[in-house]
Amino acid sequence: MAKIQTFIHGVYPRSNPLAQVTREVDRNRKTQTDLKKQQLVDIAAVLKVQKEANVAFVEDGKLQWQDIFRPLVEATKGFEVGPLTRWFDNNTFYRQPIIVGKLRLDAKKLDTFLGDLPKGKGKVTLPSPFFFAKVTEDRTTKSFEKTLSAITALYTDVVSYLVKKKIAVIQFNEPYIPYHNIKKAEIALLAKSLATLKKVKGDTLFAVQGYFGDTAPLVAGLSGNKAVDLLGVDFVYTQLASLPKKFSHGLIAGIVEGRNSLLEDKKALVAFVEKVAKYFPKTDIYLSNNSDLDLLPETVAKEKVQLLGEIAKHFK
Amino acid sequence: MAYFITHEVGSLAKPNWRVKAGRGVPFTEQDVKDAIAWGQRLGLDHQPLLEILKKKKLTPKDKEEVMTWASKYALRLIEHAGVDIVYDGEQNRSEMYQHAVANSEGFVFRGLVRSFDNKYYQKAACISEPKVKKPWHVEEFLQLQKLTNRKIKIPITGAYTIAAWSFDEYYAKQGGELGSLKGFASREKARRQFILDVARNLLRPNIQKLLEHGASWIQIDEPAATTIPSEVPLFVESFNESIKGLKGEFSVHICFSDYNLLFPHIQKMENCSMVDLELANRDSHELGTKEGDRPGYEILKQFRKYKIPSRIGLGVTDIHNDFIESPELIRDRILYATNVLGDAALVNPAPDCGLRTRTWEVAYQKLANQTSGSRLAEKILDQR
Repeated sequence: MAKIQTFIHGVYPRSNPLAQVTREVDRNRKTQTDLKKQQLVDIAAVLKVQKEANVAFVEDGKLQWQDIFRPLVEATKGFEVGPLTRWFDNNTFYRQPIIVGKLRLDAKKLDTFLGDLPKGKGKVTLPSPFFFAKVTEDRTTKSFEKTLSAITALYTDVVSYLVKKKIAVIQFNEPYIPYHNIKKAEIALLAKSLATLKKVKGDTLFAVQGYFGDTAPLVAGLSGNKAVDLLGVDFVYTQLASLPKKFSHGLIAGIVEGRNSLLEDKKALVAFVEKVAKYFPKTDIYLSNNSDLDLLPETVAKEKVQLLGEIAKHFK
Repeated sequence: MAYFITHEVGSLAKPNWRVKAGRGVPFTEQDVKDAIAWGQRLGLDHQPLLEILKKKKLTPKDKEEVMTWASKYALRLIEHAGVDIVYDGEQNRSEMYQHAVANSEGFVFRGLVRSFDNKYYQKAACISEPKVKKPWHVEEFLQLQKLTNRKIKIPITGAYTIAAWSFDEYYAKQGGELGSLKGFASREKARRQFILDVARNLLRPNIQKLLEHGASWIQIDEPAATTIPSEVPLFVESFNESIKGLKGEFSVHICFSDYNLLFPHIQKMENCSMVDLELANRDSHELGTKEGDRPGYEILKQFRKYKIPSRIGLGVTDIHNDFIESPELIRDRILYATNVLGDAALVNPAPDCGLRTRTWEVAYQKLANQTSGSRLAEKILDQR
């Protein structure tokens, strides 16, 4: 059996104290210093829970991020922050990015949104360039391909910056393709964008995780793509039997549900992971949350990360 | 002769003196001034309220009386603005989801979940079969009955929205294993059971109790109706289950949603007298009733196309900004809708949603113009 490890991805929920401080800052009852202080406490807690779960790579939880796009939008000239938009079929919203000019990254500004991560073990999740381009309103062009090209160019700078920071894994989250059941021809546009980014990735691993729908078409579309080191499956919505047996990537197995507080049964998950490992006998598997954990209260998310750790430990 | 029956949709801001009484915070001079100003404007004998507001510490009875005064003020504001079907703007409720869940068995609050930016809400999980702890709105209705002679419409959070905004730790346990078709099917079945149990066990008994106490019109609020496009048929089924076997007038309010997703499914809604929609928010501020003049009201063509028999609760004022729609703009929105639907009796003007984020001054002006705009539209129709 190949290695079975674990890690998490995406935006992690804020604790009650942090949520409270953010509210108080909005009401001018607390200062940015108070907020920074509480964020550091929370980031330390997120790192601790991952350490205890013995994760292969560590994320900072993105506790300063207002949504998955905002730091990238705020750190890039040429973007504007747009209207509140529903986050797929959830009771949660993000602000739509709007392109109003040529995109130019201010890496220093982006850095203020990134927590300190252990060198060689750090992991950062970004929205996939395809997803980013799909949800962005581009006032400079009506061509989706041109928008994707602009985002890919921006990501070249973002990835270069993260590589320089010795980030070990950059994960591109891609809920758009599974949710909207996007076909092969369009998935090829994501593959092309990733191929462009491969040129600057150095030793950093690229991961792609689909969720909120059947991820089999996305896996089929990216299978064998040399830019992708780890490829993710949302097993809440994807049949194991629909995945290609020939798999040349590490597998991110989204087995813990990021949208329901019900804590999964450990025994059932162990049995399922055994099935997955049998299906992909030569593949390294990273057990993970299927979607971002920030749709859960922080206490529940913590339990889910602990559960991932326990299951990975079972296979050690 | 045409007559457009106007109504409000739900919430209205709570006066500071009501909020402070609830929290046990001392009143300021400004709070008292506000109570006097609005009391005079609405023609209320507000002296007994002022006596309470003078007190340094309120007894539980005082607090109760302040709550009643808040209802009285809100009702009178709505009546004064000329609205036909009234309600007190949720002066005695906390929040539409928490209020419902806190008064139900089978739910436990799991903690804060972010809605956006630095806004969060308490999200509960269903941990056993939902049941009514105590009917939610009966006391409120009985109180309101004493305070107004007009017809009252009671809003109640819908079954689909309660389920959609909750975690499911009970029914989901019946869900099958990951990564298999069988598992997907059993999860869908569990989800349906959850939503329909909320309809049968929470909504229906609550509505029944309201009807038994004399309520005649219940508005089921379903802001989540189209959140999961594939579940719109389930929302429809849950509406039907919520009112099954009950006699009364039932309507549904759906806001900030993709209304296109409702079709054709809402053809199957039974005994739904009115579908109340948020439309002004999507419309132009220019006058006009010709084709293309009213982009916000284009969706009404779908209601005509699918022959939906329900009346339309026509959102004619935007609740998210202080722009005061002129009577003429409201008139044109009503006339355009009447033209599309082909029958003035199908049009019931209303605000897009509850007005709780607006000041009372703005809310009042919007409601008053809703009345004036309706009268202007009637005049034009009567001249045709």
